[in-house]
Amino acid sequence: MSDPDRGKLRGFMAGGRAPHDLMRRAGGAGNRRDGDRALPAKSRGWPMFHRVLPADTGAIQATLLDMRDRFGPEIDADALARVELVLAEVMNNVAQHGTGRGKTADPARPGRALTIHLSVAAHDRGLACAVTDDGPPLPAGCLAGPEVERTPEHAAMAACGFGWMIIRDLTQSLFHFREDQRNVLCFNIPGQLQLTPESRPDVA
Amino acid sequence: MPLMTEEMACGVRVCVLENRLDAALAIRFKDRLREIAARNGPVILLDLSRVDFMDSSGLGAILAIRRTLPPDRRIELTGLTPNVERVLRLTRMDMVFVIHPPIGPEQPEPTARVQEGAP
Repeated sequence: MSDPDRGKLRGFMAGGRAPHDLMRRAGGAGNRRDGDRALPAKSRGWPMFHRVLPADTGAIQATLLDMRDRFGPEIDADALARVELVLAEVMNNVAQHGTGRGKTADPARPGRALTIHLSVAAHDRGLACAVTDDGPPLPAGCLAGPEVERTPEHAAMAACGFGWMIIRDLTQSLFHFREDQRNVLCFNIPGQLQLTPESRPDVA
Repeated sequence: MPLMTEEMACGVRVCVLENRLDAALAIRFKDRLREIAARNGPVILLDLSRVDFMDSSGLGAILAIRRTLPPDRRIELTGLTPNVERVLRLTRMDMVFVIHPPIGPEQPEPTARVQEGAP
């Protein structure tokens, strides 16, 4: 919440007409009264991480480092490592295959200039993620996996398909749909994220 | 792409000095590793102890070099951090590579040390 918004909220409270439940709705669940001031609680976790970025590997790397800064080091380090890996795989797939530039993902090569929208929200059972892009439809079969599993040596020689293998293994509730010329990929990265006592909502 | 090489009796140790081996670096890493693999051997011991993030692009770069090696040369791995180990396990590439425990201080001094590449 921005400072001007906070000021409006205080002004609203000063009028003395705001019922408590209305106050909660106006500012989001988790607001609390502290003396005469209405303060937003620190939320039920962390603010959502949201970025709009070009589909190139440098921007993706920078975004993942920003995400680490946002959530770490308080959050479960293992869950953070898993979400970073899965998001790298998902977004680099867009940079490499969605753009048509291939594995080099070289922006100098001819290809589609795509935009990725990323949202990550921490909650007490993990990290909920949504990644959208304006590239061509995701090929069928990516989410389901291969019907016949390759031997490790065959997979090593082919040296492809590992990204989706990682995505399928580390995610829960993975689903994809097309909306408004965009791919939308949603999933949860499981983890028992410990909320600090002061971050718990204290309004009954 | 900074890599450090150390000659060993059986070949060369290649220490990756970057802490991320991802899609943004994979092509440069592959090119440097290819050069080193072309003039060293038979073992190219890839030391990943400083790499705390590797995705499938980094793994793909290692596999691309492995695929082009002549039969008398091989890539082996050491110093896997938990995140690198996870990628190898999920992709089952831990069954393809010989993986050594981290190189400790008890190891003999390398015979030569060469800094490769610019940071």
